[in-house]
Amino acid sequence: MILTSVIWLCLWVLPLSSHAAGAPADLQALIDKAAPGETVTIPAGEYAGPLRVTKPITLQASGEVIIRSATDDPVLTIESNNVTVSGLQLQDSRINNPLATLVVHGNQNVIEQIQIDTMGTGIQLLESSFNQLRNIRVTGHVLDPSEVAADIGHDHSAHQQLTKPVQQPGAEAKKGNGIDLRRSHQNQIIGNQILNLFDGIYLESSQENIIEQNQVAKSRYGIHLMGTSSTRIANNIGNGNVTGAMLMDTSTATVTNNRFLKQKDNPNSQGILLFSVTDSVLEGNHIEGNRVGLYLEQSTGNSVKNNALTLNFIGMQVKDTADNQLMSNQFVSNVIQAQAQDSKADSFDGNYWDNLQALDVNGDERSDLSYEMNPFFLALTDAVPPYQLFFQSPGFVFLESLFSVGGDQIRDTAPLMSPVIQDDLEGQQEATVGQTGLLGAGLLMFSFLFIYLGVRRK
Amino acid sequence: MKKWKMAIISLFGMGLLLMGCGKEEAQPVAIQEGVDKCDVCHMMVANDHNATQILLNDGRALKFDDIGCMNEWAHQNGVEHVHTQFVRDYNTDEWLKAEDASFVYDASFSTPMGYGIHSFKDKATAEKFVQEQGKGTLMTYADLSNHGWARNMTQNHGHGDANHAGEGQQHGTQDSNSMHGNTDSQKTHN
Amino acid sequence: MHMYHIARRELKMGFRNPWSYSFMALFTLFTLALMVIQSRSYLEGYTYTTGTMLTLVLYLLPLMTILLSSFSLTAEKEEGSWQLLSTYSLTTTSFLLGKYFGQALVLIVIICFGYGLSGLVGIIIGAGFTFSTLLFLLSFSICIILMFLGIAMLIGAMSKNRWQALTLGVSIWFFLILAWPTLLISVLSFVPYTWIKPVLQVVTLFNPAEFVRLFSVVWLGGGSIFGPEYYKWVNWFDSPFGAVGFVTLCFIWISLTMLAAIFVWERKRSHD
Repeated sequence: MILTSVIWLCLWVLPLSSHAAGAPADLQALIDKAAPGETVTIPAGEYAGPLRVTKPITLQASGEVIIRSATDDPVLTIESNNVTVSGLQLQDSRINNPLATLVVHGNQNVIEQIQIDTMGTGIQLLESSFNQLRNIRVTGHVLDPSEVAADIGHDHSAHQQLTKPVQQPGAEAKKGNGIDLRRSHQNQIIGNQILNLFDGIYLESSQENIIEQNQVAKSRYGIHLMGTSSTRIANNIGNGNVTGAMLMDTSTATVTNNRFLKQKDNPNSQGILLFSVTDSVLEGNHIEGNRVGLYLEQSTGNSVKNNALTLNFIGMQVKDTADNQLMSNQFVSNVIQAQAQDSKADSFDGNYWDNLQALDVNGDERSDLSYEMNPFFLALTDAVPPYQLFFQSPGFVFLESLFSVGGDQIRDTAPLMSPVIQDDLEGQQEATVGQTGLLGAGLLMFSFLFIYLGVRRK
Repeated sequence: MKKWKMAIISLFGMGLLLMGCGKEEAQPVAIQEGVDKCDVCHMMVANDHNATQILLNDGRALKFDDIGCMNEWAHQNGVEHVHTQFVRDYNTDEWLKAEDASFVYDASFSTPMGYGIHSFKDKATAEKFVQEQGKGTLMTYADLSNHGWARNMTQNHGHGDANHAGEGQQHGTQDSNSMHGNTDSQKTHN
Repeated sequence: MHMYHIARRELKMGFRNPWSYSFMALFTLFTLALMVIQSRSYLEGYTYTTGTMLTLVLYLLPLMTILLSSFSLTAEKEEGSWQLLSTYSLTTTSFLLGKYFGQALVLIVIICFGYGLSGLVGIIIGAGFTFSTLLFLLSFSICIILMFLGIAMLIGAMSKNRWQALTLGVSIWFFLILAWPTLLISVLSFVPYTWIKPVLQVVTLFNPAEFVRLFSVVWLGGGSIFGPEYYKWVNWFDSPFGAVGFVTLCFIWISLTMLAAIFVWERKRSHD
């Protein structure tokens, strides 16, 4: 992986004129010659784009085939149905271009085993349906401004005025999406890897797409749905993005068995965010080490079950929601387990909270003491965001506890007594047992020594 | 006691400084890309022509990723606390007072939340944009209040969207309008 | 040289003081309890356990430091040993600095005992602190002790006797630890919105419990929880400059409180 990217970087720096060196005849001509249904095998080598496929053929690489951008057009455009493309490497150095490295405009195409290096968007599906995108790797090569120069210093931005134009047009490359679907339906996006892009997988006004076993890392939103319905998101992994999965204006989505880990570095990050989502199902997701595990706002009629929310700074935030059902979820070792505000007719009953002082008198495996989700922090910081500085301040914890003895708190009235999901988080600390012991013993020795020196009489 | 004196002195100093600032005309606050999120839809606000902001009378700046979100906020919270609404010129990204800007709407224009409205610093550039695109309705700030604020990315995207393929693949989804109706009524009850 | 002798004397007095042992017992008990209570040991990073640990350390340690050390100063006055010492050519500075270092050592030994024991017990029961967490909590506690020792010295210098020190100490503790957010939120509700953030930032510098806590959370990787408002500060804290800045800030704090203590003590001395 590292090796290939190094090699790729070297190639990148080389002048583009060398690209056609040793390449056989014009690739586009080869494609144009092929009859529909035919298989075009591209010999190993480096080629200059753009390529355009307008008939149902199979495009196959034999060995390492690299195609580079040479004009302002996408490296590869598919404008046909039933095209199969596999094994290519597409390298795109165009910046701020509205069209992706690979543009698909057609149905029933299969695109697999493609490796894309891009300065913009990786793959675009425009009004295209029934396509399959499998085992594609999209890597974005635009660095964040913070990665170039971490801005250090004062934050009195509130009164800073904008005097100079903030942006020189065309100079700064902007990240594009990994896989971008617009008004495209029933596509399958399976087993792809996406790194360092804007939104990993972006779906807009699209229906019944299947997104499975993809991995998105270091991007803005791992999976971003805008106005979709019946999308199925299963077994994906989001790691270190701003937000793992962002579902907006979406209905009847199914989000199951995904893992969203370590979305925590951005001050607005969360594992899964649901905004204006209806009648969707979130089940069996593993949400670990995020800033906020699960965020729900203005969403109704969703079912959130069997999810494990572990080690997040805030396990779950719920705001302005109604008629959702949350049960059998497991909240373990989040700094704050859950906060809820203005939630109406939601059911939070029957989740497991590891810090609950549970008490089961009648032996029904449910605690008779309820678990309360304190809205105080959420309400306060919503009104005045700077008060987020008081997060877990000892005095704030004290203040919050004063407010928690109120009437209409949102609560889990029947918390589970024992966890429902077994997870595999242990093991990492075995290695340090020896060191811990040594440190403990050292500290004890140190204290005994000084106590002895102290009480000893000369 | 020393620290108290210092605290009081520095508070006063800070106060004087801020009062000095307060006398200037309200200035838009810079968008910090990757830090600022929309106060309505929670998406990150990109530092581009789509960003808008509201300065409240108390000096608080609310940022939005789309002019539609700004409208939504004003709709929910009213405008009595609003000092200035800022939008950005499509071409130069410079901040403009919304009252002074011209707007062009077309359902096919791509904006972060799909409201499809671009803002321009004057009527001439807006008209030029309409000409270049060959589509779009020119609007003034006053026209915006009569605008339907339809979005081009709801789940059943079919309405009036002429040029999209796969019409036949639209499967029965629930009516998005009813959903929006729900959230709206929910909002007003708060 | 005087300073060294005073510090040694302080150490001896500290460990002959039954209060030290009761605090040691309390602290040890509470670390052990905290460690044993959790069903699983998720202790890396900023989690429920580390968050709770920070909170409890912040409740207990400042109070312990303020009481033990200010009492040790007032005791000198009440028992007349200061009158005796001041007949030697002992400067207030070396006396108070000696007291400071001596007390610091006593308190550090107390928490070392607590953490040391919990480290070992954790291994025996098979669920305890990890190495890095233990080290982190230790550094955090030492930091809190050093900061609040300065305050304690000032309280000790200002008070005539234990009762005064107790009253003053508890009220300062209550103000800085318990009432801090409540007071700030109510006071800041009277200032214009744009002042809130700058004022919060400035006053935080005057509360060692708060800035040590903030730095620690950032250090644990939890800085993003403070939201976009403090994004740049968090980034800065996280950089090497941040660590240097933090150490400088701590140093300034200790120096200022110690200078104030010396000033007060000196004035009382001349009044005698």
